[in-house]
Amino acid sequence: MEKALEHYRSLPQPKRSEHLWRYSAWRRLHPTGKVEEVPKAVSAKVVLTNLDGSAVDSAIELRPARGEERRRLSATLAEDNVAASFCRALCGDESLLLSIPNSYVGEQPLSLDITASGHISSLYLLFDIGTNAEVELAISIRGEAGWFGLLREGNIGENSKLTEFVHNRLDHTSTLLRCEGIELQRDARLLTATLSSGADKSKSDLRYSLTGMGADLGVFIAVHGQGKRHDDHHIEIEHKVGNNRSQVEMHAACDDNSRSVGTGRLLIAESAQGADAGQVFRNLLLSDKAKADVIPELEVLADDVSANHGAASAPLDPEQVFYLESRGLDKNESRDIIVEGFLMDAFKDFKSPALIDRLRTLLLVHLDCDLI
Amino acid sequence: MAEELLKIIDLEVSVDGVKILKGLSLRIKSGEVHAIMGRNGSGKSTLAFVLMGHPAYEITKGSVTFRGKPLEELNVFERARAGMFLSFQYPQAIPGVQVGKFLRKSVQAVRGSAAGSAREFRTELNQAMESLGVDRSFLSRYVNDGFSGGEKKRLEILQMLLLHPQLVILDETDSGLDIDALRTVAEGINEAAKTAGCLVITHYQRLLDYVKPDFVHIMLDGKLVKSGGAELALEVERQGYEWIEAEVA
Repeated sequence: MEKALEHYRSLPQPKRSEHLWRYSAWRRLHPTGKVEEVPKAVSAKVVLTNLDGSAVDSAIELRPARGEERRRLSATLAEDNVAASFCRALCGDESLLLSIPNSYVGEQPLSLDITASGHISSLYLLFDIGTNAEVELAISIRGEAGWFGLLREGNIGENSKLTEFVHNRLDHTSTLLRCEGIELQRDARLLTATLSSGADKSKSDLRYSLTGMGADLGVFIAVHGQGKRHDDHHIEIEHKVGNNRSQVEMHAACDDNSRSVGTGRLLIAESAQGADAGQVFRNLLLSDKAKADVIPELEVLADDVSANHGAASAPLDPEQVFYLESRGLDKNESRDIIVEGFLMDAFKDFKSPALIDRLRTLLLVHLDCDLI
Repeated sequence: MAEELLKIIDLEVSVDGVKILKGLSLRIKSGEVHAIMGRNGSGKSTLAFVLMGHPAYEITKGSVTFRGKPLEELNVFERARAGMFLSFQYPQAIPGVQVGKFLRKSVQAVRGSAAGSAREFRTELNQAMESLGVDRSFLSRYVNDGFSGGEKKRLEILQMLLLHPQLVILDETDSGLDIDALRTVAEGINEAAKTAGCLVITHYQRLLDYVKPDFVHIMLDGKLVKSGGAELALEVERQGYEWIEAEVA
């Protein structure tokens, strides 16, 4: 604990000029605003079941992580990552490991329910997916904590597939800091979808490292901004070797005075010939005061790659509204269905029938509740 | 006696200050099929859009009533709920919205309590899909997103069958269809025409081989310049529009 604390305090505090902190200053995200301070935090409650609520297979473990496991699984996030370092210091010696054994093939998705409560809450979650395994996972982040820090690090073993969605449904008064570092080995596949609708201040720093050939990564994010919600997603993908693929699709629908920030950083190493990478950021601006900022960045050192990025921000398309109105839906109904569709469209390449149905239901509940 | 559904008198319409319709009059009764033919740019699609209430089109003169009610008093969705239906030449894609959900919402909005239960809707939907040769996988796809031209037109006709409109406006519904799709779509139109008034806007005569019009109107430069029976469409197919232009000059 002391070591993590010392390490955090030894880091230079990030400046607003840095890419990662340009739109969400660390001082404003820090739970007390005094950046040198590491306050006491309550550990979040974590419950692992199958999606239908039944007990998980005995081969799957959720237990405190050992020191060696922490060292092995935390290689993706750099030592100088301030947010991750802060979360490590906050969590101290407490961390959980979700372990999926080699060749495990789940018959139904797992559900990981995270409840954050108290003034300041934290969770350090590691996961280790063995080789040739296939697992689907639904992660729900909820609760009324004033501030919640989630650090997630892990490894997806050779030829394994993890398909997961993360639903940020924290109370609107909460602040969320989410840091992730995930490594994909040879022929591993990660499809990760996020529905971000909770926590009025939310910063996610998501980093993925493709270290094996044939690795396949899909990052799909839907953000719904209302009121004064501020949602900032930074997605950083590093292709360390060649012949692998990554895709980012982020859709943000911003209403009222809300703001969405999407920054993407794609690094293709010189040795990563044959990499195929794409990033698309789309924003739907639903009010004059809503804001959306997008900065995709490419750093390509290899010469035989496919790398592309695109960004677009637009208000509601009046032709879509006219079409829906001509089918009997009034202006509000037309707007609602367009917003729902726009957010769901972020998940069009998220290939999991069971999880996509759940995502759709959760989104509908969220949107319908907001109408009440 | 059949009810008069649509009454257009001396209609003039502008878009961005440019006059497109220049004094158009037309009456359609329930059960009648009217076809409007004309060259590109003659104002056919403008008429379709202005009837449905597209905000870009401004009525500068004349009047339009639907079942005796001035259309200007009705918003777009109110026109749909009152029984008007426009089959779009280029239907909009609504990414992320599944066809099945969209159809259910639309039917509930337009038919209200007459929409029936979910089970009744499913039965009716299955019948309509079968009649149009539409596969069930259609329902989980996103509205018009990645659809071929033919699929888009089938979805328009599927909506028409489910919404039970009283006045159907078909804007170039035949464009982009192969002959088999054209026949299928025409059967759907003929089904709707049993109870509704139809305004078929078309560029070609071939749709009228399968949908028999009671009246054919020729539109030139924003006006209906000549009207007749089904034989007028055949005449246009044979001779083009020049002889009509010469006639009205």
